[in-house]
Amino acid sequence: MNTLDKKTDTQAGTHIRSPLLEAMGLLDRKNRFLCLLLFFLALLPFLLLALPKDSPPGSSPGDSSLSGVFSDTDAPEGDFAVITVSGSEVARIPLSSTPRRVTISQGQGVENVIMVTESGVYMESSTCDNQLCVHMGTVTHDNWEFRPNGAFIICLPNQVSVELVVKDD
Amino acid sequence: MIKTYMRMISSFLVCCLLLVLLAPCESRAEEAERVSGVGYYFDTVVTITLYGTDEKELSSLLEDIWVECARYEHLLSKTIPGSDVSRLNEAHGEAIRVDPETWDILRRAKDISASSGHAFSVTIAPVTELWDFTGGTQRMPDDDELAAALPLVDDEALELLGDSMVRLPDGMKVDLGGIAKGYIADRVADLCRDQVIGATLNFGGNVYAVGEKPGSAPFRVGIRDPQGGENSSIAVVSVKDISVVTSGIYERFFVKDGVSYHHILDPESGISAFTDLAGATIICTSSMDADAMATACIVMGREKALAYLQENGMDGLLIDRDNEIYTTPGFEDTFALQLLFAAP
Repeated sequence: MNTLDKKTDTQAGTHIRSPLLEAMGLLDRKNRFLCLLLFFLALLPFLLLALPKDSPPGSSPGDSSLSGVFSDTDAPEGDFAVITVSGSEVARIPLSSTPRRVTISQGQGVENVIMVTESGVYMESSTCDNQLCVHMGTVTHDNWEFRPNGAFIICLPNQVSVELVVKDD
Repeated sequence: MIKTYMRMISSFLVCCLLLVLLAPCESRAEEAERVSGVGYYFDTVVTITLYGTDEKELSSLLEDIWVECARYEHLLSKTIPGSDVSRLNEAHGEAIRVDPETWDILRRAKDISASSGHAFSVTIAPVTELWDFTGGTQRMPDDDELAAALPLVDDEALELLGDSMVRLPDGMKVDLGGIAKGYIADRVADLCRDQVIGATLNFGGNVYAVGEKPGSAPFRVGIRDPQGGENSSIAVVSVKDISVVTSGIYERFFVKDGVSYHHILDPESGISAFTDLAGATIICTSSMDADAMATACIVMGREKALAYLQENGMDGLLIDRDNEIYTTPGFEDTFALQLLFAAP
């Protein structure tokens, strides 16, 4: 490995009139090294931007009184369902070929069961009195823009919501 | 020798500079950030979806929106003690000072009440309190109760004085339920406008499409099929920076003795409006106006409603009880109306 001192020594005999030229003179033998260095410096902004972002607040699994909730904290690649209780996110689950049943239990007999399938998400059952959420059908990649409630299924009495987040590209 | 190096170094420096400058731009163009949230205010659900360039800014905006929602709820709710509306309803005929915003909403409510021939009323609370459309008791008023309550429904008796002062005759009550959500949607849209590429704000049926979807596309809003279920739309409109408000007789109702009573009450009779209309959608930059007018349309019935909307230069879509669709002139083209013959 070369050191800076050694490089400086090798330039002793050249006509150096300024620090910049002196620095350029260093390239005499080590231009490959400097080129690489510059190249990586140029890449630095890209690398910084590519770093994973903070996971959204409240998306960690196993929150308080909820049971049976499993979560993928990072934003999944494809469409995914975001479940909230009283406005706080408790889980985000990617649509996958293996259907997932998510039970949101809030105690005192308050329970919502959400199904996340390959094609979409729906409220399978709810202990609420009006059952509107159960009748809100399935939100899919193809119908979310046409539904009266958009990408959401909402249980107002139990304050549970499911949103299908569609990656439209 | 030095010249060669200088050339090489210069080109590298230029490359580096370009890369450094271009990096953030490329990242922005790649994909718009998206933040959404659900809140429970005004006895309904508020869903917000924001699109922008900076996730942290969007999250911060979402927090600001919830703060505003809570503030408005404490100002305008009929059931929260100490709100402007509660204080007014308990003032026993004394003039009280309200927030200038409350005064403005009351002003506009009175205007729409007058222009609609009182098909919309902001003082209908004494009558609505006699009904229960949500509690499951199927309570409805008898003739005596209605006879006692109807004289208290009189928007003209609500006096708007100077300096944000308001006077309501003793016994009368104000309910901003038919207009407040629209007003709040307007204010939240204002809050978003400069901070997002686009946003959809849904205040329990009052949808505000702020700006446009990333990629300059319009937002699409489904209009509920009055004869379909919760998931069923009869049509879809494409909109940018405008509010779409739908009111329908299917929202809250109960069936008693074979009659379906719904929550849109005719201020004149104090009973559910049994006109030929089942749904009304108004598209307007003022969600507040659209909110009050959609309700008024149901009470008026199709012919009166279409005339009323045209007189006021409003864009509307009306659906009668046979699911026939009627629109104001130009509606279909302006909003690229797409009819859905079967639920998607």
